[in-house]
Amino acid sequence: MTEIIVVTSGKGGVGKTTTSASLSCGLARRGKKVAVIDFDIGLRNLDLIMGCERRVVYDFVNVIQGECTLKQALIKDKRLETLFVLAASQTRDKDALTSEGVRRVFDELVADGFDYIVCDSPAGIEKGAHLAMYFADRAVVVVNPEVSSVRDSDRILGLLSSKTKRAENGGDKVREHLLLTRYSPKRVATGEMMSVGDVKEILGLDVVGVVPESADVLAASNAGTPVILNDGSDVSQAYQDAVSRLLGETVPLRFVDEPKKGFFARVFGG
Amino acid sequence: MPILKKTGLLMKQPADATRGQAVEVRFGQVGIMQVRLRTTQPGEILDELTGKTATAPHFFDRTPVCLDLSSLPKTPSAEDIRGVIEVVKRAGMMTVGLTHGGTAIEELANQLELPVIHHVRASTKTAPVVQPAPAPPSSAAPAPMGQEALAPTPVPASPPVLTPASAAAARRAAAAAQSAATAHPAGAAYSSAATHSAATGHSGAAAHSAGATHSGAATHSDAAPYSAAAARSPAATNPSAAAAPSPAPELAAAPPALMQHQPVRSGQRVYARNRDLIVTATVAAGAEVMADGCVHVYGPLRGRVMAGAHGDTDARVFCQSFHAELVSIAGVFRVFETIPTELAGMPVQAWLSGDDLKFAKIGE
Repeated sequence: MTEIIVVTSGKGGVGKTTTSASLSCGLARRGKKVAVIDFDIGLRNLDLIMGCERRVVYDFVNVIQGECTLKQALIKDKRLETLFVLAASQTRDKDALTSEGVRRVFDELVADGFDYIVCDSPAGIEKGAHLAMYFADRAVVVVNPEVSSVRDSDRILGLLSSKTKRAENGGDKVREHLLLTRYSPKRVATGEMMSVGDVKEILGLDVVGVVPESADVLAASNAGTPVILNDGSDVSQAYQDAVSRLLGETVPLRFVDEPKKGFFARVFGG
Repeated sequence: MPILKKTGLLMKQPADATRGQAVEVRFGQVGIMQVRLRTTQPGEILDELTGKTATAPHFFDRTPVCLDLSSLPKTPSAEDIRGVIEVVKRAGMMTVGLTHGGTAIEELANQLELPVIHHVRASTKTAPVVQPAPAPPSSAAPAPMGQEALAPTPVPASPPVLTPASAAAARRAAAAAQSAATAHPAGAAYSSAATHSAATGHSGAAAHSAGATHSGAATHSDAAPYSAAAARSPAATNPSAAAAPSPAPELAAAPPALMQHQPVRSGQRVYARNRDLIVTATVAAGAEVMADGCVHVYGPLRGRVMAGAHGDTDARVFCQSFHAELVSIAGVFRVFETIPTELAGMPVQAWLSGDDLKFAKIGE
C-alpha cells in the first residue's frame, strides 16, 4: 500500500524542500521504499539538498512526456538503499506537468512497490502546487511561527480539503499534519515568535513535528546532505521524531521549551 | 431589496363546502433584486449582465428581478422594455415586475402585463454597501448551492447586492412598525456609528447605548425581529423555521440552516443561500462566511462574516469567540482593525438597529 505524502506550505522559504529531503531519508532509514519527487519545475532544488545534482540526467518532465522511462529518471540515493529521487526539470516550466502524466508516474511507482511517495511542492497555489497535492493521501504543511506563513498555510489547508482527488471523490479526506520549522523557544519565551500552541490553535491541526531554528540546516543544505542524517543535531532528532509520528508512533515533542536554566538561575531564579 | 407585503387572507369556505381547499392565499415577504437600467440598449445590458452573472452563475440563476426605470433619461416604450426583458432572461434572470415610478410606469406595466411592485424606493441611497469581495480564486470551483457542505463550499462571488439595503427603508415606509417588544439583550451595546463611523459611512446618534432597544409603537408582529421569534409568525410551526430568517417562511418551508463542520480556511467562502449558516468550526482570518439569514459561528470567528446578504435587515451574527475582521448585516458593515477589548474573544452577537450595526456580548 503506497502512501502519497505532499510537503507543502503556500509560502516560500519555510523549509519545504529541507523537510521533504529529511522526511524521505528518515522513512527510508526505517526500511521503507521511498520516492521523493520535486514538483518545483523550473526551480529545481531538491537534487541539491539531496546531493545528487550531478547525477540528474532525466527528470520528472522527461518521464511525463515519455522521453525516458521512470527507471531511467529515478536517481538512487548513495546513502540509503531504498531512497530514490525524481528531480524537477530546470529548463521547463510548470505547464509541462499534466494531471494525467503525474497520475501515470504515481501508478508506476505504486506498481513498483514503493511504500511512500513524497511530493515536494513548489511555493504558491498555482498549478505545480495543485498537482503536487492533488493525489495526496497525507499532507505535511510546513509552517514557520510567524503570521504570514500561518495565513498561507491556512489557505493551503483549505485547498487540501477542497481541491484534491480525495476531496473531489468525497471519501476520506487528506490527513493533514502540521510541521513547524525555524522554531526558536527563546524568542517564543520573549513573545517575539508565535508558540506551537498559537499556531495549533489558529490552524486547528495537530503538530507532527517542531524543528528548531539551527545553523545546521544551512550547513547541511550546502553540503548536499539531508539534515536528518546529521545525527546528534537537534534538527536531525526533531525530524526523526516527526518521521516516527508519521509512522504512527507516539513521541513527546522536543525542542519546544527553552533550554534549562543554569544551576545558579535555578537556585536563585525562583 | 424591497420587501413585498401582501395582506394575507385565508379563503373561507362556505359552510357546506367540502374540507379541501383549492387555494390558500397567504401573507408572504420576499426580497427581490432590482436591476436599475441606465439604458435600454439590449446589447449593452446583456454585456454587463452576463459579466455579472458569470462571476456568480449559481447566484443569479433564475433569480427574480424587477426593473427599476427611474434612472432612464425618458420613459421607455413597451417595445424597449420587452427587449430588455429578453436580454435579462438571456442573462439567466427573470423579470417579474417594474418598480413603482408614477403613472407612466403603471401604463407601461399594463402593456407589458407585469405587476408594479410598490414600496421600492426607486432611488434608494447606496451608501452602506458592503464592498463586494474580490472575485473568487480560480481554484475555487463553484459548488452546488444548497447542499449540505461537508467540505467547505466555495461560493462563486460576493452577494449580488445590486441595489442594496433598501429593506430597512422599505420596511419603515411600508409599516412604521417595529414592535416595542423587541428588546435586545441587555448589556453593553456598541454602536458602530460611535466607534467606527468612517467605516460604515453612517453617523448615528446613539453612542454606547447600553441595553439598546428598538423603540416603536405599532404591534405588527410580522415585522418584529428576532428577539420575538416565537411571535414572528403563527405559520412558522416548524421550530427551525421560527429561528430562520428566511424572507418568505410562509411561502415554503424554510430550509434548515447550512451546516459547516469543517474549518473555513483563509481564502474559502461559504454561502448559505436563503437560509442560516451554522459553522461549528473555526472561521480563519481571510475566510468569508455569508448567509441570506443569520450566521452562527461556534468556533473562533477570525474572518469576515456577512448576514442578510440579500438585504434582510433582521439577520444577525452570533459567534462564540469574536475576533472578526469584518461584520456586515444587510450591507451595513464594520471593519475591525482592532477588536474592542470588551468584545475580543467573547461570545458576541451583532444586529442592525436602523442603520447602526450594534454589537453586544451574549449572556450578560
